[in-house]
Amino acid sequence: MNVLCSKLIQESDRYIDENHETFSELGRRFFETFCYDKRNSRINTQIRNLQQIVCSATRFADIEDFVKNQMGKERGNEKRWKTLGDDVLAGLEQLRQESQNLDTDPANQMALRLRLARGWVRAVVSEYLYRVARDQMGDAA
Amino acid sequence: MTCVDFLSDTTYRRQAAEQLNRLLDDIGKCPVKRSQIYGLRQIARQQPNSVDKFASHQCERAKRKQEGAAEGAAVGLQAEIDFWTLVISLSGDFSHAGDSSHDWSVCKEGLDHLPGDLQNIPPRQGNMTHEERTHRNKLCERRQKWLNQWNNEHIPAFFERFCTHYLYRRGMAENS
Repeated sequence: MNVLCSKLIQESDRYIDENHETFSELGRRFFETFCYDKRNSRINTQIRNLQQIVCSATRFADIEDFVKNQMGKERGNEKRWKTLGDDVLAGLEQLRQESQNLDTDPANQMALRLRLARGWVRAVVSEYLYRVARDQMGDAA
Repeated sequence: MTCVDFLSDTTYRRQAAEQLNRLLDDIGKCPVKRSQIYGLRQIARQQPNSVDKFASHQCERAKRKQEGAAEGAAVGLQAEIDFWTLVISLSGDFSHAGDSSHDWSVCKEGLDHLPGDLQNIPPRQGNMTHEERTHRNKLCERRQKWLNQWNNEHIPAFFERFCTHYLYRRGMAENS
């Protein structure tokens, strides 16, 4: 994996900060679409799977493929993925575009894409978990 | 970053989507079953050099079915034949890479990445000295090894993108 210079790290972090609201909005939609297991207080496994693939992927396209695979399934969570999958793919495409705006070197672009995706998923999952917690507090009250 | 990582993340992703979208938009449906795509993906992962044979077999099977089929079914089978023909052209062996009717294939991408000394190997000539012949044979051998290695790494990477995009398109078509 290419090591990014501090300037590119700062610029990618700034992009993540500036777009936090947009990413959080997607987290809210993940909550509305996938919800969670209220009886056992377990979060939806699809959220963990998404987070896992984003954090472990060495190729950004593997993240896009995860979403496409979920949307293309015959059974399971495919209906829920189909309601917001294209918006997730559009969001990922924007990250891809931003990596090209930030640098022209292909190796840096690959590393930037993955860095942006990890910032993106942190914001999405945090919002989802926050919604879960609020829902549980509402239930307890 | 390796060459296969980079191409898989850029060129293969783009080509898989473009080639499939062009075909599927043209024929207006997704002609092959999920199970056939799972088979294609498995072959690409485990026996990358056999993808074109697998696709040829599927194509021949569809052609045989088409011969005795009613008109409506024959149209559906033609779409299946077109799909497998695309797979053959995208994966075909290097001997056909130069005259493929498609403008891009994994093989052609490999030929573009050949190391300089393996690109223009002089043709065999009767008046070559023993040393020249030996040198040429060694270059040919190295070229073949290099191309086989390319296939082993790049066919699985490309067809991962290709199969996933097909499943995505099929899922979306079922939704509409």
